[in-house]
Amino acid sequence: MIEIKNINHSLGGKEVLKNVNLNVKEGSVMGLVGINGAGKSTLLRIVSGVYTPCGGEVLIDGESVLKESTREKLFFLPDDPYFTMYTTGAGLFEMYKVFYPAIDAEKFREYLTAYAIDEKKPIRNWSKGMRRQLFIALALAVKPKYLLLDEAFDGLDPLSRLTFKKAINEAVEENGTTVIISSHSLRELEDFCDSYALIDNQTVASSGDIAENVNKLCKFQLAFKEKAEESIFAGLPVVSLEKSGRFFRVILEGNTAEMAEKLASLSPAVMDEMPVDFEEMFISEVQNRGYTK
Amino acid sequence: MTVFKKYLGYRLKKAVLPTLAFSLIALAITSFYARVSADGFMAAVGPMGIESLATIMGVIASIIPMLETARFKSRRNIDTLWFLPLSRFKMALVHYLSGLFQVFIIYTVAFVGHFLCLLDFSEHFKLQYMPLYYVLLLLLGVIVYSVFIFLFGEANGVADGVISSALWIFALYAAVSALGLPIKLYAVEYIYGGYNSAFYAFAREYSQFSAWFIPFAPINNLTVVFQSVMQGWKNYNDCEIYWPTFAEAINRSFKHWYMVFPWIAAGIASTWGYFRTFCRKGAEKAGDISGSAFCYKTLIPIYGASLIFMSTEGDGFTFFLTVAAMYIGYSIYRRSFRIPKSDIVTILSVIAGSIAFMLLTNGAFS
Repeated sequence: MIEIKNINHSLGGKEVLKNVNLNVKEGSVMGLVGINGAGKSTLLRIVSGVYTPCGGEVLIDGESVLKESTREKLFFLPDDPYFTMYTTGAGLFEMYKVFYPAIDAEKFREYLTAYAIDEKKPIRNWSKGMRRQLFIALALAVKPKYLLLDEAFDGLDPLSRLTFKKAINEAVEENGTTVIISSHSLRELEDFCDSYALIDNQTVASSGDIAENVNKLCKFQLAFKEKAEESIFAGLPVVSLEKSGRFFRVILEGNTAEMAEKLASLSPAVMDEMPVDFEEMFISEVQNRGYTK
Repeated sequence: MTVFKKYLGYRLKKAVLPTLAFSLIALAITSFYARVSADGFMAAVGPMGIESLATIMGVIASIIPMLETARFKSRRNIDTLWFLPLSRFKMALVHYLSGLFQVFIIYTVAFVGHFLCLLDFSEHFKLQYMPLYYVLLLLLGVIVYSVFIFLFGEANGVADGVISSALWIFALYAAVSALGLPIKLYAVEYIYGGYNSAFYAFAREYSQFSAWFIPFAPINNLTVVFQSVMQGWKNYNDCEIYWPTFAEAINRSFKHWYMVFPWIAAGIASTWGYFRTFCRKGAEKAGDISGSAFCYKTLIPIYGASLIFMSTEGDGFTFFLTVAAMYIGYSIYRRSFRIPKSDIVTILSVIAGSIAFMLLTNGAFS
């Protein structure tokens, strides 16, 4: 289990994280979400031991992440991993074998074959996506107990994303790996994350089970015979509201049946219930917090 | 095998090729120099040319620390290194030892090559002292290595590290030499009563003393002593050779030998400082402005003040030049032409302080 306790951190005199508390259950896949500059990468660096927090601590299985033995259990894949002019897949494998003796060579080559990557070629001329595939293959071959991935989908094509998601699911099922993954691809996260944490205003603004939180919301599309104003929804627990002529798309917080009944009382000509996804939940959350982009 | 030993082995393996390349270059230089030098231009035999060994040691002991630890100046690189299951102290130790190993190999190869070349002239030199020279130069090389690995480590970026390391080579020497000007002016006025032989002896002594403030001074002076003992002092008129003892050689060229001790202390302190900084410096500092007291913050005022002191005339142009140079220095440090008030205050303080000091020591403006 990963316990993030009262983390405070500043970068260049600017407070980036403030009183962050979060628990990540063993075997879970947590999506770390937030707008650009929210502090997701900083939090991942702190959880992996790259940054020493200004305040608070990170415990992994009850031990500080700053301890050498604790870090044997984790692998961190940053958003832009370093490589030199001559770095090859084989060279990287050789280096990580020093630190993770149990790294699975067979698995590594299996992933490389799946991604059609030549481990002997220097990676400097590869696309960002190809390099990411290589590092993902390394991370998965290490079979860490805790896997921390920053912007993991960045640069991956749709097919590679699918392979990657399958591999993550396998790792969770076969090795009981706990994954924290930050990404802006919320639809991708929704596919395989069971929980999430939203970083906003330098702290964890909300967190929990994705399905549970999505189910707290309901979405309807309504059309009125006459021109109507947004004010007709006043008094309802509106999370998000979009208007286009006589059409409205509204996301409400609460029980679907109860909300449907309340909306029906507004006498719309047409009213359809629609599914809410994780991305809509995220957008609603951040918009409610004052972001208008 | 522990991760530490494995990583050290990995680093040493990675260092084989560059070490081999550097060794071959060093071997070519020293062997060539040994033959050309010893083949002589007068009488039968010329000098031993062991200064090439000292030069090789100075170069590798100052450059290899930078090559070995440059990776820790990049945030991207740190991201891929500091989550690994190895404590920062052990990581620092691996890179310290790996660099030291490279210095040892390159120097040893160069030394052996040089020594073998000198064997052809063994009857002309006291080569029995070569092993002692090898050991002492290696030990002093470790001091230089430690000083430079510390200085480079204090900077947050590679360019800052290279600049500050290069500036530190002459910073203390410049400061001590610059202080020498008012001291000499005071001495000529009040101590020796004019430009007489006693004053010139004092000035020469001071000059020899100030040269000890260059980090390479210990290896250079040691080489001069051993050169004296091993090849003797030639009388060029009658081609006679006088073989001085170590005491005589030290007395002539190594007079301020006690200055080795501050350098030994500096080497120990630098080693401690390197590990301390490595373990404590936040990863987020990598690539940031180098705000350490061992970088621009100290170097710019030192060079600013030295520039004023070393000019024979404390005129307006000197002050303008100093202000301009310090401003450029602070612009490089801040990576912006807009420098903060604290830097402007430092520039003005250096100017004011220098004027006050020169006035106090009397005569600098005369």
